[in-house]
Amino acid sequence: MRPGQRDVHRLLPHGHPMVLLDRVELLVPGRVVEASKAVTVGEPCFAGLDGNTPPEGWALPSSLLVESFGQAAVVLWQATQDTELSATGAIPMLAVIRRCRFLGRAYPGDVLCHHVELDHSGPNTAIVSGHTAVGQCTIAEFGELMAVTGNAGKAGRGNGRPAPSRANGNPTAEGALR
Amino acid sequence: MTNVEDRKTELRELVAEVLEIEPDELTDHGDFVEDYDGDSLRAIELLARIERKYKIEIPQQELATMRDFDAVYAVTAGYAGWRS
Repeated sequence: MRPGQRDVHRLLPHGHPMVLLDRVELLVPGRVVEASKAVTVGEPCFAGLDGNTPPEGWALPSSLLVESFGQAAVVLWQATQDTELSATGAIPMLAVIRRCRFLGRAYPGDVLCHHVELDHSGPNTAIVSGHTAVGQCTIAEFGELMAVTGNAGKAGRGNGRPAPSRANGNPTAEGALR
Repeated sequence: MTNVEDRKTELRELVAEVLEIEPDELTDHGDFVEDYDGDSLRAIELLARIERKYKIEIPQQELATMRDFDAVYAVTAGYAGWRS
């Protein structure tokens, strides 16, 4: 199963310019997704850089690498759920990262290839693992990423308005621990 | 892993990793919030990890009672069908 661009955007709650995924290469709901993103010099993160910027300054920020990997995970999680999160107003959020290692950097012109495996999926949580490669070189390993859903009512993409901010970032967990 | 002590050891390691403490620091009745700086996010992570490890489903409402290790073991044992 290889969804088209439209499907990728349907499965992701993100809007431009925060969609950090170009194409889904392989999608097996409940198991695995392989997705890619081309790093280009026109991206906002490279704005302001010039000929005086040292070579390492052109590396894609690690935070955006993680975000891109996380978006691939959302595609997989969404495709696995019986009901798409967008239908319920729930917004997937990255909650926990464990055993993550950066082994290399990506630069404009590189293509990130994410391999994400779904280790656990529940109504409100998902745990994934995987890695990101550029060509044959693995540049990041993700031992465990956990995503949770936050309910933001009818917010989300497609309504032309930004989603309400979640100032405290806390997931919905009424009664948890306390 | 079949007896209670082995299961408790395994579960204690899991809980300790979520709370980011050493397993021997985690007592049976130490309150996750008061004694180990736990919060709602760690609670959800704990639930997800237990479900994944033991291939069970635990309703989120159970988190309200899972305040210490003893309670976590009791809830997990209940849903996993472990005999005490």
